[in-house]
Amino acid sequence: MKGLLIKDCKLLLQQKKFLIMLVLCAGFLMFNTEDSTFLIGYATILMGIFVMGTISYDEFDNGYPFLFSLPISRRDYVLSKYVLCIASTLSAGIVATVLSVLLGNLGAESANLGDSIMAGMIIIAVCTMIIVIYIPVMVKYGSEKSKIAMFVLAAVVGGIGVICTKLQEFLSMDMTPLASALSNLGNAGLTLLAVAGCVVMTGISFGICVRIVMKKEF
Amino acid sequence: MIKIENLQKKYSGFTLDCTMEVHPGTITGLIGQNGAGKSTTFKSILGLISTDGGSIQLFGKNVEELTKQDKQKLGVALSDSGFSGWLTIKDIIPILANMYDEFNKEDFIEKCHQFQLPLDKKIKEFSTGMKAKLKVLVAISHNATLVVLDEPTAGLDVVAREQVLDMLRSYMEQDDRRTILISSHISSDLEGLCDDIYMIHNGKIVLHEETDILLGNYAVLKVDDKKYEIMDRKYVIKTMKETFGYKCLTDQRQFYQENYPDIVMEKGTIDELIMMMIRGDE
Repeated sequence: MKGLLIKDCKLLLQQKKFLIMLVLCAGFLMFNTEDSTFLIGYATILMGIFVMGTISYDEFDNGYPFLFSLPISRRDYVLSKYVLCIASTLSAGIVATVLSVLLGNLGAESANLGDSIMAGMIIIAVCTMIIVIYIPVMVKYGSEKSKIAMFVLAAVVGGIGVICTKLQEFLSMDMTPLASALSNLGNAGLTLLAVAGCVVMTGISFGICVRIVMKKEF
Repeated sequence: MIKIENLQKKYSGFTLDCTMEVHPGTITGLIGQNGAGKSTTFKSILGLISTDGGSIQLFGKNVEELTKQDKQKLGVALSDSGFSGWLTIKDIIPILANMYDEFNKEDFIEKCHQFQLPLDKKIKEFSTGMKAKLKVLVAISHNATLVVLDEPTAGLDVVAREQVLDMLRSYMEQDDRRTILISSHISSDLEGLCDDIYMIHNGKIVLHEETDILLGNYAVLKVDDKKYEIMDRKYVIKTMKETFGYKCLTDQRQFYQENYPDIVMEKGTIDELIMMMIRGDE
């Protein structure tokens, strides 16, 4: 797997300029905003998408057949993508959170250090979840079709949300207990819930992605 | 080294049905027209596609059971796939070094210099010949026991083709356990390289013979209608109607040389064989 990670790092270095622009934009945003919530999400998501670009490089020019004739398993390939994506998104998110906390522009003014860090962790977890949902979609449909697939997926999720809301109104369901239960969890509980959700989602996504790659013909 | 028994792969309008064997220490060629099934056979051998029946064994194991350690002994060059064109040779050296335990970095770099492959240039900027040479160099860079080459000389000029073939000859000379399976639709490449040749057509192996026998015993007889009617045709494999009479492919050149000395006879080249096997009648 080390060979695959080296390959991906070498490919990412081809996009140095894009990475520098990403960092400059993040820096600009950081010093021109009073709330860095958006910045943490921006850094995490863009870093994930940046690293996922290596899947496009592998796919480009029919690279997969040669890649899978190397001494690696298909599972190794998927694992290398998840390791690289998660390591980079977490690093970007953590750096953005630490800088935001240091600059004091994360969360409410009254928020203490712990609350600010937890807010950052929730954002990182949610953004990582989006990234791990995108990886199998990209592996299955390729870089071009995956954009449409993600759009469809987002529309489906949105549609389900709307249907649930309508259903709740139609059935006159009282959601107050759920809302209060969530608020009773407190910041620590919510952070833990987001992190746990992220871990579970990553596990499910990895399993699906391995199955997709195992079934793929090159 | 490779044993394929009744390999089946079905696509719409095409069915591969292949049985072949590659023995250790030999160079085996697979020839056939474009779309004959060469690449499908190679992809099946490499486990890149699922199959609909039959079995493929590499190193005595079913291809699905090959471990990463087994794949260390395998060198592969594919005509339409390779390392990303955005990488340079300098980039792929650490990748290969971390993939293969026996990657010989010094030798690889030396050969790159020998074949004038620039280490700092992106592969996508290489010429067709340079890309082909690099693919073969990568396949033989790690002391592989089995090297599988799908159309390694496709699109190359005569000089570049000969360089690639020389590279393979020299690789084989270094160790008598080394084995090569190579495909090509350029038969002259294989005539001077292979010990054994399989011919594939419409997904089926239509001919298997040792190269020496193929070039030594096979011949194309050119006869008029009258001669065709009276001659003994028991050793004629394929016949093709021509304006002057008939062209007949035989695997017993000597028989016709001795019994019909006046027959016009052309020594069988692989191109001629392909033509006769594909277009000729039984």
